[in-house]
Amino acid sequence: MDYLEEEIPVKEVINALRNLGLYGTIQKSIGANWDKIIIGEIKSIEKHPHSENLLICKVDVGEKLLNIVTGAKNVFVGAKVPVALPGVEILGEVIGIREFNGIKSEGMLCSEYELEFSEDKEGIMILPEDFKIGSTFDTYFGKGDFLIDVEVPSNRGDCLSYLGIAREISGYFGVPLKFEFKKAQEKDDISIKDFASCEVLDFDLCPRFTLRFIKDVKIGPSPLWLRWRLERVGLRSINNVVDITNFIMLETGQPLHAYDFDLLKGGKLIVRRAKEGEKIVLINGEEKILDNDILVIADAERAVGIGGIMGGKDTEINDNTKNVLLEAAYFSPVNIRRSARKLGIRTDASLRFERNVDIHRTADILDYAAEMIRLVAGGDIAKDKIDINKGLPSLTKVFLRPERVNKILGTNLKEDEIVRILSKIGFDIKSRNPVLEIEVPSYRQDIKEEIDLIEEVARFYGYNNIPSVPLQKGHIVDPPLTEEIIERRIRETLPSLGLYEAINYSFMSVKDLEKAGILNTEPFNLFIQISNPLSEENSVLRTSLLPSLLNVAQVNSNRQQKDVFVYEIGKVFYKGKDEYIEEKHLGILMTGEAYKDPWSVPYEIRKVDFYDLKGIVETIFERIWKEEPTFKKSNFVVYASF
Amino acid sequence: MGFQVVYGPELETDYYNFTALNIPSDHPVRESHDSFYIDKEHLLRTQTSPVQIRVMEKKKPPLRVVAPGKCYRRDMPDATHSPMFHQIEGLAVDTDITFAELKGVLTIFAHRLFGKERKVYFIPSYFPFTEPSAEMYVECGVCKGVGCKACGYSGVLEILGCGMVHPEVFRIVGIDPEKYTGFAFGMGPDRIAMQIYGIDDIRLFYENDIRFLKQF
Repeated sequence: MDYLEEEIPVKEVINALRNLGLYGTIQKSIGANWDKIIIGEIKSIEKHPHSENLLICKVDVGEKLLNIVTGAKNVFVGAKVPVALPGVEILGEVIGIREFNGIKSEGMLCSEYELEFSEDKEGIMILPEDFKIGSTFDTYFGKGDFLIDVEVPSNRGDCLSYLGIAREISGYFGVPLKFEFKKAQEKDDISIKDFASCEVLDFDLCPRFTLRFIKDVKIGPSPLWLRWRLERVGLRSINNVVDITNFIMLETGQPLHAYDFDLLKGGKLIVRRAKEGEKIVLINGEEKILDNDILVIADAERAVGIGGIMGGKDTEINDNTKNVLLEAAYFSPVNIRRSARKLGIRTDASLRFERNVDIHRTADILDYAAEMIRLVAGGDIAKDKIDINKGLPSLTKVFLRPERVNKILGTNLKEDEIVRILSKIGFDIKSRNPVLEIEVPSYRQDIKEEIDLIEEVARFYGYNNIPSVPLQKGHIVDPPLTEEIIERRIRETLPSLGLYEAINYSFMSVKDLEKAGILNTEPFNLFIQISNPLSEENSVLRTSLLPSLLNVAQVNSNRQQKDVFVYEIGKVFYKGKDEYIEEKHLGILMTGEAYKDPWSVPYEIRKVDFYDLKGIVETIFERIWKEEPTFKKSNFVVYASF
Repeated sequence: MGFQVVYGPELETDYYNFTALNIPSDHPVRESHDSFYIDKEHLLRTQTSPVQIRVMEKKKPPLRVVAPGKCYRRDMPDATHSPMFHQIEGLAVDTDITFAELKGVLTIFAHRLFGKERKVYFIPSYFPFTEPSAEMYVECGVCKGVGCKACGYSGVLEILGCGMVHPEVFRIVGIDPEKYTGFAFGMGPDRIAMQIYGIDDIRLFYENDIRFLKQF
C-alpha cells in the first residue's frame, strides 16, 4: 500500500475490505523472493565448449565472481542482471549448483517472467546501469507485493482506483492517506493558447473538458518502475506517455487520453455528437460506424476519438510524436453506457466514466498527469490549460438525524460517535444543531440522502457490531392462502403415492407442441414468444406441462430408466385477448411398469395404465376437496386444473 | 415467525421487476440482470423482489411475507448458471423494524438450516432497493472457516442478500418512510441446496433424471 502512511499486513487489508463490502481476494503474491535476488554485472562471456546454444558468463555479484551458464541470447559484457543464487526459489523450484554438459553453473540469470515481473520470457532481464552490484532486487522494486482482486459494487465508481480503495482502508484503520496530486511545472514562455484550441458543442454529454499541452517529449519505453506498475496488473506497457495515462487512471480512477498534437488537423479539438454514418478507426484497429447519439472528439476535419471510450488510431501517440495534447474530461455516465453497449466496446476508461468519475478533480488530475509525463518523457508543459465547463455542480449537503441512525440500525450510537465515524471517512460536518448538516466529498457521488449516510455509519461501525435480536413486535399472522394450502397438500400427497417432483424449464420450442400433438389446439397454440431466446429449443413459453413431462420420459428412457413416475407443479403461459395469462398447473407422468398386486409373492409385473393415474387424481381430490372428480372423454389429454 | 407465503407472476413488467425497485432504465445493475424479454414492457422476472412491490401496493403494513418462485436470467447453462432458477423473497414492514431485527431473524433461519454451531456474518453489499444492504455468509461446514475447495478458500458461504427497505421504494408504493421501516431478503435455494447436499452442477435440478430425483 503505497498510498497509506503506515504498512498494514495484507491479511488485515483483506479482512477490512470484506467488512466494508469490497470483497477482496488475493489473486497472487508477487516477488516474495525479491530480497534474495542479487544484482550482478556480467564481466565476460564465453561460448560453451560442448554446447552451441549455451554461454558461460562470469558475473560479479559483489563479494565474488560467479560462473553462470545461460541459454539467453541478449546478454552482453557490462549488463546489469538479476541473479538467483543456489538455494533461492524461482517459480516454485529451488535453484541449485548445476552442471551443463561439464560446466558448473553457480546460479541463474533471471528473465522478467521468472521474477514474476512480467510475462516476458525472452532473454534475461537487463537492469538500468545505475543499479548497484551486490544489492538486492527489492531495493528497487519493493519487497514483493500482493495482487488483490476487489469486487467493487456498481454504485462505488470512486473505488475503481487505488486511491479510492486506499481511502476506505484509511478510514477503517484510522491511518492517514499518503497521496498528493503533483502540480504541473509550467514553462512560462509558451502557452497552450499559442498551439491548441477547443470547442465543446454538447455540454449535456460532456460537462467538463480539460487539456494540457506538452512540447518536445521523447517517446520511448517506460522506466522499469512504471512498466512494473502496469505489468503487475496485467496491462501491457506501450510507451512512456501512454503508460503514464494508464497508470494515473489506475491510481485516481480518472481516464486520460493523449493525442499526437501534430497529427490533429487545425490544431483543434471539437467535442460534438457524431454525424450519422461517420466512421472512425480506433486504437485497437477496429473501424466503427457512428451515429448522432455517440459523442466524438474531433479535430477540424474528422473524429479522432469516441469520447470516454477509445481514442482513434490516426492521432495516437507513436514513436515520432513530439508534442502531446493531453485530455482529461467528464462524460455523461448514461451516454457512455449506452454508446459503449451499442458499439460493443468496453474499456477501462468507459467502465470508469459509466460509474461516475469526480468532476471536481478533472483539472487537478490533468495537471498531475502532465507533470508525470514531463518527469518520465521530458518536454515542457506549456503555461495555462484549457478547462471548458458550464460551472461545476455544488457539493451535496445531506441532513442526518442521529436518532434516525439508531431507529434504522437498532443501535444506541451517540451523536459524537456518529460524527467521529463520518469525519474519518472524509465527510465534512458543517453544523450539529439540531441535526447534522453534512457536506459530501466530491468523489462520493453515491451519497444523496440520509439513508446513504446511515449505511456509511453502519459500514464503518461494523455490521457485525450491530446487535442481532428477534423481531420485537408481535404480529397477527395472516392465514395461509388457498393456493398455498392446495399446493402444499399436493406436495404431501403425491410423494406418498410414489411420485417424484420434476422441475422443467418454462421454455420450449414450437416443435415440442407438435410432438405432443397439441400444436393446433387452443389454448396451447396461443404461445408467447421470447424476443431474445438463448436458442430455438427455448424460444417460447410453455402453454402446457405435457411437452415438458414427455421430455422427462424421453430423457430417462435414453438413460435406460424405464419406470418414471413424476409430477410437476409449474406455470403455463398464453396470450389472452389483451393480456398475457399465467396459470399454475399440475402435471403427472407415469410410464413403465408397476406391480400387478403389491402383496403377491412372487411378484408380477404389469404396465402402468390410465387407471393408475385416475386413482392418483381421485386421491388428490379426496384429500383436498373431499369429493370425487368426474372424468370426461377428451380428445387429447385428461386435464385436472385448479 | 409469522411470515405468510405469497406468490407473484413470473411474466412481469419492466416496472415491477426494475423501476419500482429503484432500478430506473440505464441503471448499471440492469446489466447484471440479463433478461428474457417478451416485448418492450414485459419480461420474465429476473428476481422475486417484484413481489415485494405487489404486496406493498395491495396491503398496508404491518406486513410479513415470503415469496418463493422461479426467476429467469439470460445465462448460458453451465455448472453454476441456469437460465431458470429459484429465489425466495422475504419482507417485513412495521413501525419500528430495525437492521438488528433483520440480523436476528436471518441468523435464526441460518442456524435452523445449517446448525447452531455455524458462525453467521453480515457484510455490506449494494442493492438499489435496500439500504443499508448486506450479504449473509455462513461459516463453511466442510472446513469450519479455515478455507477449503468447497468455499473457494474463503472459509464462508454466501447465503443471501438482504437490507432495510430503501425509502425510495416506500415512496414509490405510497408508504410513508418516516412512519414505517422494513427489511427484505432474497436467497437462491438452488445454490443453498447445492451446498447442503454437495451437488456441484445446478443443471442436475432441471434434468429430471429419475435417479437424481429419487435421492431427495
